[in-house]
Amino acid sequence: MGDMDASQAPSPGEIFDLIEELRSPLYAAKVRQIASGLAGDVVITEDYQEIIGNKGSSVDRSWIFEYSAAQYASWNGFLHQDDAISSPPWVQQVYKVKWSNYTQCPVDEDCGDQTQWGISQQAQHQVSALLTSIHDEFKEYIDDGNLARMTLLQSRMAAAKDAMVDLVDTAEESWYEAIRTLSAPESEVWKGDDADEAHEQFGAVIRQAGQTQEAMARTLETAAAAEAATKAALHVGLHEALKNAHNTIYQKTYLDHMTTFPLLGTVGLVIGAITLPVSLGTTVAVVGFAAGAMNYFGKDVEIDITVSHALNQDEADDLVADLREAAREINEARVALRKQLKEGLEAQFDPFFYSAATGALDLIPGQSLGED
Amino acid sequence: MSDRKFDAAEIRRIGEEVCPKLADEYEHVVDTADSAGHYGSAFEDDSGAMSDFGDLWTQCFKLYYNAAYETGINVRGYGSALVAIADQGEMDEHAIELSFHRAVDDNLAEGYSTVAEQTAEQGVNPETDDIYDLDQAPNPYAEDLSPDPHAGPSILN
Repeated sequence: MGDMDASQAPSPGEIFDLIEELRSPLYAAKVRQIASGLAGDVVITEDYQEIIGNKGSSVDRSWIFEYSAAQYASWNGFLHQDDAISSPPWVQQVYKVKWSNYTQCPVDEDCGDQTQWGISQQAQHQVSALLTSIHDEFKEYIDDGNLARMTLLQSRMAAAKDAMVDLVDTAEESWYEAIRTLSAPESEVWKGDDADEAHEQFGAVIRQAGQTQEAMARTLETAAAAEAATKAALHVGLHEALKNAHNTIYQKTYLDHMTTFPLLGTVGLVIGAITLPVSLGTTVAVVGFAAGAMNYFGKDVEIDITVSHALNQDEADDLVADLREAAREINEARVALRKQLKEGLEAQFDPFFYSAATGALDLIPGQSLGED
Repeated sequence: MSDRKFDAAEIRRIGEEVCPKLADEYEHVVDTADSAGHYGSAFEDDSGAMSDFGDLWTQCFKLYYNAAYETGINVRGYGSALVAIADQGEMDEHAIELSFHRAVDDNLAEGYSTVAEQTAEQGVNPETDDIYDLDQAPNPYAEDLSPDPHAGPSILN
């Protein structure tokens, strides 16, 4: 399992870049989908029944439209379903298409310029709407909390906790005891009503106040680190879902320009004292997200999510819907985990702190934080 | 009053040597907490609304901050009070009726001049900002945030 700190988690910019990079393949899928729809079905006649299929049924020609410009050129405008049956006259007649510079995909041979332009325009508009829907969905989740600021908060809180720990460690060496024994009932240097009052208000409580404050600081730092780890897991999950979508497009189409993205598999998000194991689906057609157990205040916190949707490049809408569904489920996991974090923090941050945290409240005129 | 004991030198030593050092440590703790508090908006969403978790964390943080802050003031005030008690005791060995309250009251003003210095350093105006209000901790978190360097560009026109 590789380890990753918050600075290595994908930034919102990287996530949104991957969304934008879907524009080209989604457009390619959309123009082919529309062009394919306009081409109409090829109906099998009795003559070709034995070769292609049952008389009267339709032939799915969508595969024709998957090919790229280079592949199209190498076939001289004729696309063959299968090399074994290449070049019988009916194949050329039935499957004859031409390359369109408007759509950057093959279209039916009788498709005019205006129609090709219309296909392109329609596809562009639809892709923009799809990308907006993904972007808005992802943005809603990413904008809930700021990972960069969370990690800064976590590191500053860690420094604040260290300072508090140091204070108590130093004070324990002599200060606490010197202050306590000065006014303690058994004191040999100060005894009387004034000493008793000083002891009650201050001498007897200052050590407890410091220890309580140290516990508060530790709790705050742990909670901040856990929330930052959860937010980082959200970023990693959304980023992996997008990479999966890109890889699926690559695997299931013949588009030249696509490349594959390496997937993380399993990573440990290490933030402060918190390690959150995150395992991500590696199956190309599956967008998956699962977070393992996270130890939080001694309690195992666990979320386990697998989103299984086969992505179909023939239908850009399905791909987008699956991607958004994956994002929703990843975010739900994050929200559920955060609810557990809140409950843990509530349990740790006892109202007891209010009365025990500051020592002699009476020394502050007109103020009291306690429940008296 | 046979059990009355009063070692002015030792009381003064605690007041002059121990309490100020502990108070100095608390000032450092408060400074580090203040530095963390500037990132309290990390838990806000894009519209500035806080998640339930973030809201709770922030409340707990303010409690911690105020506790450390007030304890530091208390420690310094206690030190001054001990010195005053020692002074008084030395001047009049028989004035043992001097109340602890009186000494504390006399020294609160000193303690609060230190508060003013601290609040000035933190950019808080004690005249207008209630530093003990849990809902208004001394840190002006929201205003001082630098732009997020990791924010993504808006990719859609």
